Amino acid sequence: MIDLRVKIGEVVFPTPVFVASGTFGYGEEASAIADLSKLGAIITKSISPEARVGNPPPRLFETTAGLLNSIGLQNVGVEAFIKEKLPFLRNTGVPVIVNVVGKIGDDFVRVVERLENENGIAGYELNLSCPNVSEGGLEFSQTAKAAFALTSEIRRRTKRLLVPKLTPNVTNVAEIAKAVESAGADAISLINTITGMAIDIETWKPRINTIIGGYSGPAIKPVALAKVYQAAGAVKIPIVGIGGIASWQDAVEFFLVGAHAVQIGTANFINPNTAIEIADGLANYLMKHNLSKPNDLIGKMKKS
Amino acid sequence: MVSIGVRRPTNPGVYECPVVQIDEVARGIFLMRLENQAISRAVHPGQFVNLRVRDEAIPLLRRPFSVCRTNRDAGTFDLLWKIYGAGTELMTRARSGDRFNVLGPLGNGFSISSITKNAIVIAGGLGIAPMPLLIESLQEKRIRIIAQLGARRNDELWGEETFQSMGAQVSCATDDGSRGYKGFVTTLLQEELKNNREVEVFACGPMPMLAKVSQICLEAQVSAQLSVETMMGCGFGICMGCPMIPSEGVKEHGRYVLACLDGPVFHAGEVALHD
Repeated sequence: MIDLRVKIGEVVFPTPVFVASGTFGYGEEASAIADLSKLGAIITKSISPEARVGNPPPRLFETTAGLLNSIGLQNVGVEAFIKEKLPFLRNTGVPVIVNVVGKIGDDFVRVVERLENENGIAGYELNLSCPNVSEGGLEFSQTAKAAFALTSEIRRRTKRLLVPKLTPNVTNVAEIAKAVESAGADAISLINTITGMAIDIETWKPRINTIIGGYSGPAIKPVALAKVYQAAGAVKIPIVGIGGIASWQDAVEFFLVGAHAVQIGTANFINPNTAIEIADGLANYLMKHNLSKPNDLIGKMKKS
Repeated sequence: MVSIGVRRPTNPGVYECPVVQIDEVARGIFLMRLENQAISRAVHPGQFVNLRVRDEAIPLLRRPFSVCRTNRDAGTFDLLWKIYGAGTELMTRARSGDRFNVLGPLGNGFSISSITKNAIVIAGGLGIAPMPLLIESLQEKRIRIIAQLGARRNDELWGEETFQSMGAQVSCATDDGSRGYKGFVTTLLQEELKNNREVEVFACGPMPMLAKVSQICLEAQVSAQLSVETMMGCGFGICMGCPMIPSEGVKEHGRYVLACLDGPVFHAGEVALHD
């Protein structure tokens, strides 16, 4: 019998296939189409201290097997999240991880401190890919120093699962991974979107409003896999792999390079049941290979 | 804060829908009949479905289409499109018996008030797509219908005979004058509203046309519902990729509205209409 449960920190997840922040709203929007109770976990839309309206249109542009976006972290803010969104999420019965975002470190602290009073939250994923105003606009996870400082700040304030989410837009992701591990992170998730652009050659204008956006989808999977491999080799804490996963075969690759769990992102837009179907496909794969649990795959890539 | 769009529950589903028939009904304009009882029964005029062109990463996203017409007895629904890019080009190659994965019905369609007695249905280009289903509903309510159809040229115009057979009084406008009035279809609307203001206007078409319809109707103080054509990601509100700007301003309104959840049908004056 296949047991898909995975334990990360103190949290037991029913399957290792989660839905990624910003690709599943607050859960409710997809509930007519997907059976949320079969998800491994729901990572919420990024939550900031105050509501954010997000960026003007156009926010999306489809590229070859990929997607550029500049949603701009549109969210209802922490108070409305607690009042309007959390009760539904709590009722799904699956672990809820709140993705937290801010422009300065104090924003993250405010959101986490407020959420510490609320039940039904398994942990926090820190969106370290937002430009850090006090560091001159560099993303929090572009320097080991800023990533360490922020993770430590939050670690002091919560015993819940703490998962910094790293950007791929760095030279050495292993260094950042080590920094957040030493700051007390329970796990690391990566990758967030890659910076990307597209231009309309008739109007000479950028395809999305912010000019540069976040690039996601099947096209970025090889990049994500390499970053996950590098991070997994650098730290002892579990890695949650993200980036272009659209099938169970994609997910197996991430486990083999060292991920303990995966998140499904852009694929949810096309099929919000992707994470559930991948969990089923993973169970079948394990059975066919006479394996009993996802753990039997983790980091088992053979070097030629 | 003025509330924009009423988010009615749509209870969408994901269905594998067999293709019954595909026809090129006008130059570069295709009509496809798909079989699915649930969508055929549930869909309201102005709602859309999000269709997966094929089970591949290219094209990646689903493509949204207004439901054009249904046959509830046969359990079919029709979609209308023209070739716009790789996705719609691939769709034209489908043959009867092929299947498409379809998510729907989605969005807020047109609402037909019980006091409406006369309707003007105005469509530009592919904006014709949701109108047959709307006209059927208006007919059922015994509302008198004037249909105004605009296209670039005669051979790109579809719907005149269909709408006439459905009992609408139809007039056409083309850019080159090859059928009907030479000029914008919105000029026909302007003329009609000069002597007839006891009407409700239903419009679909490109943004500049909708902006003009909106302006004309606001000036004439005639109620108008506009179905916007816009790029979408998911179609059901999780990607937040299809924002529209509320007319009163984003800050004043408190948020962008989403074409998929709050629309795609808006009342004139609710949202800013531009490319």
